[in-house]
Amino acid sequence: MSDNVSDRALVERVQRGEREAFDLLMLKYQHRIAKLIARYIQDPSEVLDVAQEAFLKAYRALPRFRGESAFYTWMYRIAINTAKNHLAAQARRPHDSGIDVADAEQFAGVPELKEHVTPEGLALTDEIQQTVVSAVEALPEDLKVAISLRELEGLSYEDIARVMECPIGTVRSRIFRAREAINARLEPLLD
Amino acid sequence: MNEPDTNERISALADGELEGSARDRAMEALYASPEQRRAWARFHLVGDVMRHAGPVPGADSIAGRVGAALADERIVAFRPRRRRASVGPFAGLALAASISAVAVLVIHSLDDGGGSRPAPVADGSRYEVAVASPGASSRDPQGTADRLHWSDVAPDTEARLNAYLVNHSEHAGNGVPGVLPYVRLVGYQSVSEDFR
Repeated sequence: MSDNVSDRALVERVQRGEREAFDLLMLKYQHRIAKLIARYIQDPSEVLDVAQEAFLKAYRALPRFRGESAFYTWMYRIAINTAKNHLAAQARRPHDSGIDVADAEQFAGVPELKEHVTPEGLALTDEIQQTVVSAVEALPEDLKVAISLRELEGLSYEDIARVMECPIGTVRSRIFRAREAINARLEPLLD
Repeated sequence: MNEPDTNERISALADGELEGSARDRAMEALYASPEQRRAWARFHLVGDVMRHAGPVPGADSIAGRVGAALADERIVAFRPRRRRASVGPFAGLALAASISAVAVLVIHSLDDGGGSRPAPVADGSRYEVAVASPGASSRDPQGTADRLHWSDVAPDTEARLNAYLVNHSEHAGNGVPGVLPYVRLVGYQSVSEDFR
């Protein structure tokens, strides 16, 4: 299983008329989409406007979404096109790198992709990043391995259980406890 | 189910590790609880940050902004499609019957200057239908009456029919709207010859 399974279930719910399911998709992807758009658009407030527009377009187009690609891949294209249209409307040339989703996500080393953030935003981003890194480092070893295998390697619970030689239920519990511990360190920054 | 259990399910849902009724219950819990939606968002944010894919300042507000923008259009945007009733053969039959009925009426109206045969009924009397056509216009009721052709009616009956039609034409539209605007249908009751 992968998180695409949950996405597909949420998309089906949206298509049945449950807008709450779309809220969950937005909560899941709002940072990634904003991060993506920020590589094209410099003004932080415009980034949020374009992200909002992209999600609105996606919501309106979801009845026609057939699930032939993953939801995020589809959403990614909408976000990129919305950002490009926004720049075109302002007679500015988009930074069209022509790279795919995976490359754009790991944009380090890709010179065409560079984030545009304010000093305050950059400071907060750095602080959050450092907090998460230090929170992960402070985790007990079994929690750290479990969350790393999940988030960095993308392994399923079954595969992690095999690697860690423990039951799947234990993997699930370890990952949850790791997230709770990291989240506890993040709360003061985000509230 | 207490909250830690629920949050653990939500953590598993975030990883796509729930299915069936467990997944449905976790999603329903997320719908119902702002706190659990917050946990859902944070769990994903943690993963994004670990993968160097977040956060963007202010991006926490995007879902709320979109939700507000969608609030007005949610009623029409995703109303589930209803399957159309399976009426294929019956719809065709009904259409054919309607066309046939119209054709019969038109043919009768054109037949023999607009006259029609009396229709016998079981109570011993009969309803006779006289059709006036063409030229039955409310703009010229008197002229209309002069051009009427009635079949098989006595002179006094014809006079009553003419008077009725003239009066009717002054207050009614031009016939049956959209179907036979140039045809007037007038009925009267007479006693059958068999029962006189």
